[in-house]
Amino acid sequence: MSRSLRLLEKLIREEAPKFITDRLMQKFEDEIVPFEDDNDPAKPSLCKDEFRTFLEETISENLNVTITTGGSEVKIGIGDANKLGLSAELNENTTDCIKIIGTILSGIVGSYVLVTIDMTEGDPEGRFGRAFLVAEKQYRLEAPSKGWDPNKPIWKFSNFPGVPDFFEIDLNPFIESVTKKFGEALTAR
Amino acid sequence: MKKLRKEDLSLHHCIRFNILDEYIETDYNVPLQYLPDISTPTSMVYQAVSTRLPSPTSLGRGWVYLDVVPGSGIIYESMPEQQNMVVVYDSLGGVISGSEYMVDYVDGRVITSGTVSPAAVTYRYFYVALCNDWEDVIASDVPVVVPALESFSKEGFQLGGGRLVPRRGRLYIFASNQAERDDLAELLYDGINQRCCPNQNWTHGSMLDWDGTFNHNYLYEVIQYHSQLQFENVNYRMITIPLMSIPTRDMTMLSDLNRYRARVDFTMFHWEEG
Repeated sequence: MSRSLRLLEKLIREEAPKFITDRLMQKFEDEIVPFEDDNDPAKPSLCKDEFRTFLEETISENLNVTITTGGSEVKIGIGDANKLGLSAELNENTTDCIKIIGTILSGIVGSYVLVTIDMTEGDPEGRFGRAFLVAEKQYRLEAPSKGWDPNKPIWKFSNFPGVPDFFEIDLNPFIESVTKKFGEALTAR
Repeated sequence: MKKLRKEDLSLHHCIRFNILDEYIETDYNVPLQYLPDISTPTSMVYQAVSTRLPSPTSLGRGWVYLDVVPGSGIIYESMPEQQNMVVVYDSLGGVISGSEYMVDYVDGRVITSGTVSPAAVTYRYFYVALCNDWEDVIASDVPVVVPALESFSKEGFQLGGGRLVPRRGRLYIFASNQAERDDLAELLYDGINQRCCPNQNWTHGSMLDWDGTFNHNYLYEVIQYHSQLQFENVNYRMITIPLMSIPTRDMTMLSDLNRYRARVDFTMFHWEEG
C-alpha cells in the first residue's frame, strides 16, 4: 500500500469513532432524553458517559478499512449488537446502562416497572445492580411479598415505540471531512 | 384518500391474503348466541361464542371474507365475498343458505332477517393479528404483525416528468414462542423480498364496510400510470429486549408480548408517470 493510502486509512481510523459517536450522542439527546422521567433513579441521561465510552470502544473495534488502488471500502460496525439486545443472544457481560438503552432503542409494548436490586424497604433505588423489567400487573402482584414498593410508578419508557433507526446516520459529512483533511495532508507533504 | 393511505392499505391487503394466508385457521361448530339488545324483529344478531385463544375476533383478526386457497392466495382481478369460509347451521345441523344472512366479519356475528334460526357456525379466521399501530398490540394477543411505513421521499427522474417514490417501512413481529417467531419472520421476509403487490386505488373504499360486513361496492382497480409496489433492501433482525432478562432469583416471568420479537425492514417503492 502506498504511503498516501496508508495516510487515508489512518485518517479514517482516527476520525470515524469520534464523528459517529458525536452524531449518535446527539441523537441520544434529541430522541431519548426528552422522554425520561426526572425522578427515575435509572434515567438514561445518567448513562450518557457510559454509553459514549461503549460506542467509542465498539466502533474502534469494529472498524474495518480496506483501501486499495482499485477502490476503497470502509465498514463501520456500530455498537455491540449482542450487548444492546439487537441479535439473537444477549451478551450477559453487558451493563445496566447498556441494557436500558438497548431496551429503549428496541421499544416495548405494554406497561412495565423497572426493578433494580437495591430497591427494597424504601431505600433509595440503586442505579445499577442488574436491573430488569417486570410487567406492571405481575409487579403489583408480587411486590408485597418481596418487600418492594407496591406503588412504584411504571417505567416511563413503557409502551414506547423505540428508535429503530437510531444507528442510521448520514455519513456524507464524515466523507467530506476526511477527504478535505486528506487533501490538506497531501498538499502539506 | 391520499396515496400513502392507499399504499398502506394495499400493503396490508397483500400481507393478509398473499403472505399470511398460511395462518388461516378453522373453528368448527361454534355455538351462536342471540343478542336481543342489538336485534330488531327484522334484524336478528347472533354472536359466535368461541373458546379459542387468541380470540378469533380480537383486534387485527376476524373472519375470512374472501375465498382463499392457502399457498395460492387470492385472485386479484375478482374478489367477491367468500362462499366457502363461513357455513351456518340450524339446530338440526342443516346448512343455512348464504342468502339468508349477512356476516359481520370483524365481530364474528351472523345477522338474519328473522326467517331462519341459526344455531352454530363453522368459519375460518385469521390466526395472526395484523394491527395498524404499535399501541394496538396490547389489545390483541400474540402472534401479531404490525406493518408501518415510516418515511418516504419522492425523487424525480433525470429525464421526463415521472417520479420514483420509495417508502421505508418495517414489519414488527410479536410471537408466542421462538418457533412461531422464526416461521413468521421467514414467511414475511420471503413474502416481500424481490416481490411486488398491486397498488390499488380503493375507489369505493376497502373491502369491509364500517359495520364489518362485506362492501359489495368494492372495486378492484390499480392506480393508473403507477407501477406496482415493489420491495427491496429487505432485512431481518431478531430483537431481544435486554431488560427482560431476569437475573437468577425467586421470580418467574409470565408470558409476555415482548418475549419473542423480530423485525423485517424494507423499502417499498413504485414509479409514477409524469
